[in-house]
Amino acid sequence: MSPIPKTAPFADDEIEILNQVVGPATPIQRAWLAGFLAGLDAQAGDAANFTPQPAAPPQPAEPLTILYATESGNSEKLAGDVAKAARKMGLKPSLVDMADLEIGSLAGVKRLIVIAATWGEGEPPGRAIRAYKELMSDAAPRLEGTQFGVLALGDTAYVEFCAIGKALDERLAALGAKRVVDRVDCDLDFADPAAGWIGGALKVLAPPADPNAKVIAVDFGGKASAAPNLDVVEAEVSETINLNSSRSNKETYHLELTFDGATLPYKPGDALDLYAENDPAYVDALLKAAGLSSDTALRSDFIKSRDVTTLSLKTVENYANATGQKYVKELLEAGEAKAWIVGRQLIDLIEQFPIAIDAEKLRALTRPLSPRAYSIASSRSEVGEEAHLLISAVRYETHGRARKGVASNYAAGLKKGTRVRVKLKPNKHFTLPASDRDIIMVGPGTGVAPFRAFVQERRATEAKGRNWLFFGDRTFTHDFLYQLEWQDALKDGALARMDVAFSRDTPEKVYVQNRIWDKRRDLIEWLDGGANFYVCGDMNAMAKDVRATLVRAYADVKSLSPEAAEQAVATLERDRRYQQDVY
Amino acid sequence: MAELSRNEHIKDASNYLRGTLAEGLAEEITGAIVEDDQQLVKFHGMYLQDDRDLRGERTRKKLEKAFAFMLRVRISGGVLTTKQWRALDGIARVYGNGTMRATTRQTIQLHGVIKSNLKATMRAIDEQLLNTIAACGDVNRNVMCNPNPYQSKAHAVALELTRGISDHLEPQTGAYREIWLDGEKILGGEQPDVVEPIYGKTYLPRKFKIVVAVPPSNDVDIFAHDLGFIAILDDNSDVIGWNVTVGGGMGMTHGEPDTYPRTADVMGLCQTRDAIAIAEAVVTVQRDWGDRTSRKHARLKYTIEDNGLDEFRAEVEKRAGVKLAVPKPFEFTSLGDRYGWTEAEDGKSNLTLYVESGRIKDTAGGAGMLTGLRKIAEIHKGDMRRTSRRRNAPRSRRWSRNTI
Repeated sequence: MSPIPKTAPFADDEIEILNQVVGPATPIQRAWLAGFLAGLDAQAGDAANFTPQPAAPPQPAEPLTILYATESGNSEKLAGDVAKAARKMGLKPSLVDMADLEIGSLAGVKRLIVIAATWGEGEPPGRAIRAYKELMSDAAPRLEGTQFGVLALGDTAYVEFCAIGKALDERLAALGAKRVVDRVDCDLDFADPAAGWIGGALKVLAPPADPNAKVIAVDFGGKASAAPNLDVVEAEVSETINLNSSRSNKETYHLELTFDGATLPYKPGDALDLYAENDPAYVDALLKAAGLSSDTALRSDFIKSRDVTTLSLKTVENYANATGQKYVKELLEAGEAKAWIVGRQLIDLIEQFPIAIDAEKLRALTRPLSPRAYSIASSRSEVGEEAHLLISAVRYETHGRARKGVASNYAAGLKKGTRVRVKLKPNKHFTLPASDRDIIMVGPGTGVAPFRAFVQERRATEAKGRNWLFFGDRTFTHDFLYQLEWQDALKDGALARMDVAFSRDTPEKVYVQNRIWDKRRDLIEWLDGGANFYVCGDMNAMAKDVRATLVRAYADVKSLSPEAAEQAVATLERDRRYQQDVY
Repeated sequence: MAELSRNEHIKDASNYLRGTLAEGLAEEITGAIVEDDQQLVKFHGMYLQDDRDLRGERTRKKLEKAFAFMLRVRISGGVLTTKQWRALDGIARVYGNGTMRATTRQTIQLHGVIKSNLKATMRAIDEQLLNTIAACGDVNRNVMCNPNPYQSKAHAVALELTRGISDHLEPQTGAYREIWLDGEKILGGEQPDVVEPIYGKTYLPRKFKIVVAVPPSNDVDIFAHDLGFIAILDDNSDVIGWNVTVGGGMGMTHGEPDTYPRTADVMGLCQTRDAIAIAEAVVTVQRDWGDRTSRKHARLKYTIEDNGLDEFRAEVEKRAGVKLAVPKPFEFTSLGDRYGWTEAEDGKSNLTLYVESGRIKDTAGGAGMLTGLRKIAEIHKGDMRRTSRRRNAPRSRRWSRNTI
């Protein structure tokens, strides 16, 4: 047995000697050696006090529970960071997804870290709703004896900023737990504040160090080489097609990206973070309104890396404080600012309440421009060294001004050959099941993107499970995204069934949830046979209705009470058979 | 013997115009229907079309052709009530492309109806006691009658005959109700003489067109039709019989010398009570004698040319059990429409409007012919009549209405 690799920084004969000792060593011997060597290293700088110490014998580490409520994966990733750091500090972390939380199990937890995202208009992430409700109800256990801290994630663009983190923070205290770290509310650029909070929290929660023990956890092997590349990489737009007909009033772009280096190792269901740029025309108008048109450095900074459109209450307050603008102050004092910002952007504030402002202050009103995640619409098994995206250009008008979604319009304007920056965003909560399982996919509009990836993958891998797709959009003739591909899929068997709903073709609007209801008998039969159920797309207008429809379908088809039907769907969710990717 | 034309096989295998239409309608992912059904659907009064302007971009956009159906509403004699007019207007706006088209066969066409809306559209048409059956296909098409605004008494008799012929020659297959109106399926083996006593299972060799005219107006162009009835009036303007014309048709195929235009022959005179029997006999002789091997040589005019008028007349008389009399003289003095206001013998006034290319639509800027006619249909208490125009005339159609 040769645990020391030939690549180790020792001579060949030294490696052989080391292997003679380490190879047959027991786990306890190896742990001792690891701790000893690490301690040796840590004290090397302090030669005067250096006394070789036997490392402390392995002792049971103190447990730490890390509870996270995640939608897009950020809370989950941070929870992983906490666990890694906690382990180094001698804690024994256990990660609990709120989707799986049995609230009774919280009783008796000594150390608790909660990382909670707020979604939409102040709501918990979809998968966390059940546990969140239970925790807020009388069913929650008393938590005297629990030390806790909450890290909240949110978006200041929404009025109910970090509402869920705040609510959990209060609730845990109300249940008798002891807050040992103050909550921090993070905006979209959460990386630094979150890292700071984690370091501080662990310092408080970690057990006091044994003065005699110098065991230092060593991260053997470092990053596993199999870990996907999560760095920002450049890609080239090799194809762009507006899939809507020229008669449609929508524009939905199919983009094909090719990579310079290795193709990002994405899986069906994963997303790509797209680093968009602002519309230069908008930035010019903003700078003109602020009287800063000549500042080319600011212009470039704004276009490339600042969120210069979002207008939150906080922005209005900052503007008032930074400039003393009289009417903005009045707006705030009258309590009218919250209503005024609805449907407005930063440029409205600057234009309607002009006052001299310098570049630094204007910049301080903006946040870093965050990337926008788009579900990948292709499978590498079928498209090889490419990744496809499906992006609908968001355009609307409010307060007499044409508005454009930043990322979507950046994507819509991309020409063939343009280079873009992207980052892989894995989504392990939206994945294909075993190949022999049936799947039901509900993906209206751009929500169909990951299902194109699913269908491609299942075709390429000759998966035996059947695939059933529900799709919808405005009109059959002009908005049937990927119609020819679905026709082929139905012919070659990659799709077993497809049901469609086009809302503008008939006097009464028909949506995918109506089609689900129409087909409820077959649908429940598939689910009873073990099918997975996937929903992707709009959260408020669609995903909630789809779930409610499925509950009604269970009640109707199986003659269940509303409560029992709800339970049936909740069971699917807990078994990871009901997965959603919504926005 | 020459091979039967392809359409004959399709009709034969269609189980009285059913084909696989029911299955095709349930197929939601395509806006089209299979090729054989595209032939059958004509008998139900519709054509599958696609938007040519969009053809270039569709494949690249991963879209199939922009398919939609044109529906032709059968309107015997071209007369609609204002309520029916308003309903068709509504259907065109809700399910069609917001336009209607007045045709040279006095019908109204609705365009741009997508497959998923076909049944709803057909139901809405049915609710107005209208239908589209046999508006196209190898059957008797919409029977026309000139909307003579002068001799309103004779016109009433002519319209009655028009409707009588139209009803009598309407295909009887249950397929129409079954497919479009969710009517009950007729189970078991159907006997040709029970299902289609006049047509049989393969219908006619080719389309068949009938008109009824009241002289002196011949705006329906009677000599260009397979079968025509010319009203013979006495001095009181009462109808005393009908000259029967057969074998007209202006169509021909360039470079094919055995195709040619032909004006109809006046075959004889019949009484009003025998007219429908004569019409049926002409249709069944054409059914049995017509050329089913070449669609370009299948119209009645070639049957008469090939068999001779005398032999044809004898067979019709035998089948109808009616002896035709010697035709009476008549005189046509006008071929076209009379635009503007005219007064009939009963003192009522009529207004004839010109509709450019037959297109009844609003302009991009706002209200146009479509909304204008709808407004008239909302206040008007008379009826709305379609005129026709000679085949191959410039593509202009006229609209006539009868006011009180």
